[in-house]
Amino acid sequence: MNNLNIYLIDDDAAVREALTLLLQTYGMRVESFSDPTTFLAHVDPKRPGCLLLDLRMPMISGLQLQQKLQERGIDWPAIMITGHGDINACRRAFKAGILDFLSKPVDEQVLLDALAAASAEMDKVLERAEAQQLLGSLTEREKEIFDLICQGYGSKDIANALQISVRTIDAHRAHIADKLATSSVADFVRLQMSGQAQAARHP
Amino acid sequence: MPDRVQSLRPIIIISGICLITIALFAAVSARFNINQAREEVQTTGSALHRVLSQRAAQHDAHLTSLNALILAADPPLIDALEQVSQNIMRFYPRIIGIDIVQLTGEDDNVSVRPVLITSSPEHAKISTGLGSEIAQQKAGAVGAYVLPQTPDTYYLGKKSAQTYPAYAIIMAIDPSQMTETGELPAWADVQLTIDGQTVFSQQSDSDGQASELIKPPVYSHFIDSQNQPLRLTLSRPMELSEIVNPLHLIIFGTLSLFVLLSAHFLWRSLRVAKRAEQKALLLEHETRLAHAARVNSMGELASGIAHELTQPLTALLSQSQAALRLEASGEHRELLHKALTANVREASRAGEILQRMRNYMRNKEPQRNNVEINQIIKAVSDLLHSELERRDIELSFELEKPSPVINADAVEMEQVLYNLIRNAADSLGQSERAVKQICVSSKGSNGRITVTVTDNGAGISADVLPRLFEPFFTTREDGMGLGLALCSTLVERNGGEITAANAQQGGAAFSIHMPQAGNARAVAGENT
Repeated sequence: MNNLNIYLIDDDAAVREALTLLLQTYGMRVESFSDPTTFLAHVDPKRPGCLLLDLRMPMISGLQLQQKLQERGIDWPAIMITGHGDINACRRAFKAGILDFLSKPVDEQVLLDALAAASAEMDKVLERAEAQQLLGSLTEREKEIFDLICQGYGSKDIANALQISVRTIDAHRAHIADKLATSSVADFVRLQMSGQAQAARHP
Repeated sequence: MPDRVQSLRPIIIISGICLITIALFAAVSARFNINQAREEVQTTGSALHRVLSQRAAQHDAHLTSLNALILAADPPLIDALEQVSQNIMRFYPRIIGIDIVQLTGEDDNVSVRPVLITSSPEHAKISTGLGSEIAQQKAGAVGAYVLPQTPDTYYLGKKSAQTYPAYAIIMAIDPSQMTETGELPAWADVQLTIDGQTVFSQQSDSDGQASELIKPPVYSHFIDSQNQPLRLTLSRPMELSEIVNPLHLIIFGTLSLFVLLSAHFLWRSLRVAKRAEQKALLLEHETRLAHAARVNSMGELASGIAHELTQPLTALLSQSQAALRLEASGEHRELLHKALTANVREASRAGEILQRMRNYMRNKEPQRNNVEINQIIKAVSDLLHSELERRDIELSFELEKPSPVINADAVEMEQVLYNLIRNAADSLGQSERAVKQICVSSKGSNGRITVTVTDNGAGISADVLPRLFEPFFTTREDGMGLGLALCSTLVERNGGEITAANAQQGGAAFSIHMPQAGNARAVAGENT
């Protein structure tokens, strides 16, 4: 959790300053922005981090920012902090996939817990991204065979089903193991599941 | 001026109604009186007609009996005829002469010889003259004659036989004696005519001028006699006072005026009572609403204040928790100092917000001081800043520098400005404009300072404009209609005035006009 990047976006300078200092004492890397537009201009998809958003911010609201990030394929966990804990905003926030909804003034421990959850979510997101990247490198045929392996079929069964020789299947398996850097069926299944996790969360 | 018109109006209405009823009364009573007169003329006329017809028939009967007497002997018995004639004339004074003449000769050449003359010599001459005309008559028939030299007498002539020598009876009748005293009504114009020649007439005794307005009722008939074409005409000339009795009119007019006036006063006192009741109701309503409005605006204010306080509290909490960790770790002493400085700053910020809230809540006499108007604008815009941003409304300023100074209660002026900007924001909320703007400007000229809040919304419609500052007047469904009324009260008790208009570019413009503080002081200095 200590190596977690945190992007803090709040229009109140005093709040930004205070939260930055507090999180820095925990050794976190905090970058703060006064408004979503500036953040969008600076954000680097290669440096993933957790978002800390104020719900009411000028120009673009916190929720709209999250949507804009998702449009860019950035799916980092986000935590809302707000001075207006109204139920509607809260409901909309959770619907939009916000991880947590904290009301100001926010207590140190509550914030740390939320950030810990965000960190865990972050790991999942990164793992998922990695799995998707690996699975994306397979050819159509390899993907087909990979799916059948994950369903528990042996090479012979697969060869019968696809009406090709067992030797060809083995060659494909070798390629798959090469690309995914593992030949274990258990690893295959884990990769497949984490790759699909995103599809479940964002239907 | 409108007050006077207002007080005159019932008087005009009452006199109008009074005149109309009097006119109606006059018309009805005139109709009644005329009808009555017509009936009277009709009744009297037919009674007179009957009497005259009877008397005319008597003339015929006398002529017939005299004729019979002439025919009874040849030559006729003159003594007997004279005696009978004298008797007739004695009993019937209207028969002023009975003459008998002998007609001899041929058809075209008839000579007349008097046989019996009972009338005056004047009439006797006429009787003789009439002889040749009577000769033209059929035997037994009766002819009626009116002669120019005796216009108030008519003559009846009867020939005894068709062959000559024949006798003619001439009877002279005074029509004025055909009616007896008391038979002729004094109010009537009476005329008797034969062949259009008037043989008797009587004028009514009314000395007033007969009204030209209406045709007098008339009775006009020939009397029932085959031989005497006598026409009776009876008419009643009516004076205006007879048609409409002025005394009745005055009594009725006074009475109706009295009734109308008492009805009016009754109605007015009822209305006053009702209005008082309504006023009481309204007052109660007003009190309740004012209370609701205060509770409502307190709630709004409280939620605004809560939001304002959240930010410094958030900063305070996080800075303090960071400071605790820094203190525990013993490192970064300079960061600890920085955190504590920030805490002090944030705590005072929170305190200021609370102070502003307290000033708002306090209901006290205005504390007028010299304040820079731009400072007031700044304080209010700080308070509304986040709210306006949330609603995507741009707030811009056109402030005169250096700031004009006014002598007023700063909190009250803030309250006014707060309301005006909130109002503008609310009206923009309903508008479809892509860019929503509110501009606050301050300007001073000729010792007067004007602060104007302009928006680019829909503006104020003409029918609403004059009522804007009325208490409880609102165009919003959820509005109380107290905001602008309160503004007006507050500005006025700080010595200024508030006006509303539509901006040139559309949208509403509310202006607060205040005297410049320096000027006020200068005036005060002159007075002392």
